[in-house]
Amino acid sequence: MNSENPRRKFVMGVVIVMALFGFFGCAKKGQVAPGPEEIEPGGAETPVGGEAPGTAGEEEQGLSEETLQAGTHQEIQAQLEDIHFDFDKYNIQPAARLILKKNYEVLRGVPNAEVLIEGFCDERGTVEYNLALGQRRANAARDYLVSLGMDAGRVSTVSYGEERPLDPAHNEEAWAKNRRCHFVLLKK
Amino acid sequence: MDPSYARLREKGKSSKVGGTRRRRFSLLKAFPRWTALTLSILCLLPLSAFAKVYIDIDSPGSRRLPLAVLTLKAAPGGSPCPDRQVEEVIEKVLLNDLDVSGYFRTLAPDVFLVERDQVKFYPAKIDYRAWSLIGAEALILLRTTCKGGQIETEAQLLDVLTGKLLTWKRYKSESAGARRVAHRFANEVTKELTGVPGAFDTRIAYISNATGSKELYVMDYDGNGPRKLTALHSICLSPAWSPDGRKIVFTSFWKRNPALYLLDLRGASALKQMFPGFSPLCSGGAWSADGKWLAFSASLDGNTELFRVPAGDGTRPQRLTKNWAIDVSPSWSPDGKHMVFVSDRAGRPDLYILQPDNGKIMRLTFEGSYNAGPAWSPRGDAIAYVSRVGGAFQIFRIRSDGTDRRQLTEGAGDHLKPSWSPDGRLIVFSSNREGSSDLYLMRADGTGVRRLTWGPGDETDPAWSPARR
Repeated sequence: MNSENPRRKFVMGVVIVMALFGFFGCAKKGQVAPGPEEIEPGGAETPVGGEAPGTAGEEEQGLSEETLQAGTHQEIQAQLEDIHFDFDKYNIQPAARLILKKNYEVLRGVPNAEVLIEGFCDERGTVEYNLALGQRRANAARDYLVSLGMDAGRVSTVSYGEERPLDPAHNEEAWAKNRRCHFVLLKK
Repeated sequence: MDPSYARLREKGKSSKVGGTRRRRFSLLKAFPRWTALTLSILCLLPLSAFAKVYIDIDSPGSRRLPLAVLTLKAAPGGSPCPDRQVEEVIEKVLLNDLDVSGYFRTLAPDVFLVERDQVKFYPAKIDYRAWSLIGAEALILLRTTCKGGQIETEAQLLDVLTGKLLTWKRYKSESAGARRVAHRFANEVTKELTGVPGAFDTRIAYISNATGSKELYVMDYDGNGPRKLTALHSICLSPAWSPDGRKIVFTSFWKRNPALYLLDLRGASALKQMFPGFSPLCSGGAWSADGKWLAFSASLDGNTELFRVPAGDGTRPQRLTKNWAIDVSPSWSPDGKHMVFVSDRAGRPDLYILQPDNGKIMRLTFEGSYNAGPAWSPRGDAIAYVSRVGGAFQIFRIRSDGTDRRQLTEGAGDHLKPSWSPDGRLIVFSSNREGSSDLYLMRADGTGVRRLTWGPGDETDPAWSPARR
């Protein structure tokens, strides 16, 4: 991103994110959405109250001071959602496309954001095949972000295969959670 | 039904009985070489150099040769071991090896009709009738003397029916090498009675998370003496031995992305990353049996492809596959002319056979929804692999022409990562059939399953070492 005013671009991005949250009616996200705090320094552009769901408004108000300093990276990270896959598949499903678009908007709001996409599989199958499958999942997510406009040079990938499962249980529910891509905003 | 083995005493004849293949062997043999290790061997003259023994090596377990093992007192003039511990270790380890092989039925000492004091090692004084009466067809006599930290073990294998001495060995070792002495003689006994040496003096490399992170370990083939080889505090996976047994290549996330690392077992701090440019994913190293090539899989910008590189020169890997699909898990045929690997090019993981020299590829598996993890037998006659049956993964074997597909494991839990013993008779694999993942042994026909690891962690990814030379 070569905007001459990165901060302004960042602010715009956050606004868009908040708008998206409002648009998709994601009440759960409202609890952690850091939007108002981050855009406050920008002054004028604080239209969140008008577009975000009403339930979120109060809580956002209560969080406003602390997140200005240290929480930025962490809170942006918290907005990056995982996408999920079917068994032995790496195609991006419709639900995952929406999430990728949201993630892209979040990242677009961060100047020079660099993201690491981690690909994971469930525990079934062989170590070697799952490493390759996790890599394909990460590649598929990367390609989608790039198709949206993300700079490919700012995206790196790693496959954990069946290692480091999010849920260590051995059942369908856990496996569904573990077939995923996780997005890590890299610290600079 | 045809007995699974036969012991004939005709000169220079091999036989074919009831369609079962027999192997012939000769007692005439080269003197074993002195090893570079502390263990040394003296080959004493076999008394009956013209005896022929025949045993079916292809169906262990179906009819076993009854065999007795007796440990005698120390040689006259030799210093006896301070306690019987060393002698007991040697006897116990030998009995276990013979039992694992499936060729033998070892007789319990409480049926023996003679005391050990009544048997004289040399010149031999043995009442063979007392042994044949209890059904023994072969007799092993062991005798160990201890001096300082050194042990000296003599071992004889005798044919009870003819009274012939089949082999006589003397081993000198540090007392810590007692188990290896037993393994070496088990190899020898197997060779005398089947024509092909055993592979008991071998190790298994594997991965364990016992310390909280997945590290590389090695243990004796029978599960004894596990030793941790790495402390990377990362994730280590997929170890593979060099054919000389001196190096192990494995995958690790040490520097974030999975990459191949080479561990020199003789070097103090000899761990180095291989092919650092092959990123973001480089894994699944596999040496050809002649040690000339190292194959592996890597994902550069797209999907995962197979590569090979001359083992001495790590600089210019040659790409072996090029398509849109996942290609992983190369395993070489013993002659190095073929390679079995896994690809999802037909929409799901299946085994394929590649000829690296001309790029020709043939599909091997068609049945089952998920076929992966192939390991080509060192004997060349079969490929072990895993296939999904119902909800669980089981180990199968198939010939390289796609025939004779057989399921080797069954029951609850997943069975993964088969790896052959260097003589092609045994297979080690990992399974969570009893809860956490552990390593198990079985014979190449799926019989004789036994658990090898009992620790609290998960043990996975076993890789059987080559035979020690």
